[in-house]
Amino acid sequence: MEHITDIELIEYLAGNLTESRTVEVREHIAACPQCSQRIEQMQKLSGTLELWEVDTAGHDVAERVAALAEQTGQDQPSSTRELLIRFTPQIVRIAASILIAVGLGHKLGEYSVEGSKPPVKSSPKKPEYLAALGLEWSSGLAKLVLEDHSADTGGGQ
Amino acid sequence: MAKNKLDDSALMSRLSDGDMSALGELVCRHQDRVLEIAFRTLGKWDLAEDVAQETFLRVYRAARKYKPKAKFTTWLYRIVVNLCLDEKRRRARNGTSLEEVTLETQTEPDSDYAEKKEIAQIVKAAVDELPERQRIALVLHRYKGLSHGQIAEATGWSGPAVESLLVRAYANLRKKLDKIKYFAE
Repeated sequence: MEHITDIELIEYLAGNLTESRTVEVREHIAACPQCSQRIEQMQKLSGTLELWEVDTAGHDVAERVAALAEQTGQDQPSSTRELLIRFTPQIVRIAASILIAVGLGHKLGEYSVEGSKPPVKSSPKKPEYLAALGLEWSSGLAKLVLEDHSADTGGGQ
Repeated sequence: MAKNKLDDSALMSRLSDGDMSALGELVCRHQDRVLEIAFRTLGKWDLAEDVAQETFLRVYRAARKYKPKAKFTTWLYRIVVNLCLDEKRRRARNGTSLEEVTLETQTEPDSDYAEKKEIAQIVKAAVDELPERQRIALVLHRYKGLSHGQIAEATGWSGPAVESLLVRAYANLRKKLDKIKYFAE
């Protein structure tokens, strides 16, 4: 014989089983001494728990709730539209700042693309390409380049 | 239509339109059950009142977005349970205890009233000693008449979890209370 589960026993006493299941459980209890004893113990426990009564009189929170709700209603916007209205000035300021920053950045970028450095001055003794590279005539690398160039063009002869 | 004739969803709809008297009606209608759950869970009236107050403030703040998917009380219980759990965790972090067992001594314990009152204190202490989720499940089941399915819906815990909590809660209470005269009879 399958006994009643603990949760079914609890729900049977609480009256939470379906009608058909309640009948089945009742019939089983009548035929099963073990389950009958379990039911009896649960009933006694339930009766003892019943003795802890709670009286909520004198603990009214209605006025406090009303006052705080009123205050909350004044502090907070009540709709998305009101949120937008409230924050529009800040949004406009932020958008303007971004536009200004982008515009300035673009202008500064224009100057840097066209070359903000002054044109490179070259002299007969200082080839233009060396001057553009910022290399000094006296640098070892420049000498090597010029010597190679002279050899290629036969300038040394 | 008189507000006391409107159901909870209708009152929430009025509240979302700014009708503060609808909030008053909801508080009037439900504060006793909210206070009872909070007191049975937390054990102190000042905490129970704070939780009840915050519960209805959350109801108010949620009014505009409220969509009645389930019973209003199911949603209300969810708020109360979460607030009670938050309060217990907060006190646990601060190292303060909720336990406040005061067994009143009676000079004449023979009187039935005094004896029942003493037993009530013992029952309260026994329930207070339950782990928090067992306590909540027991309070909702035994004192608010919710089935284990309804408790699962109200708390967001799974059905099997609630079943287990209830079985253990009742088993623990049986152990703690088996010496009481009323229980032993």
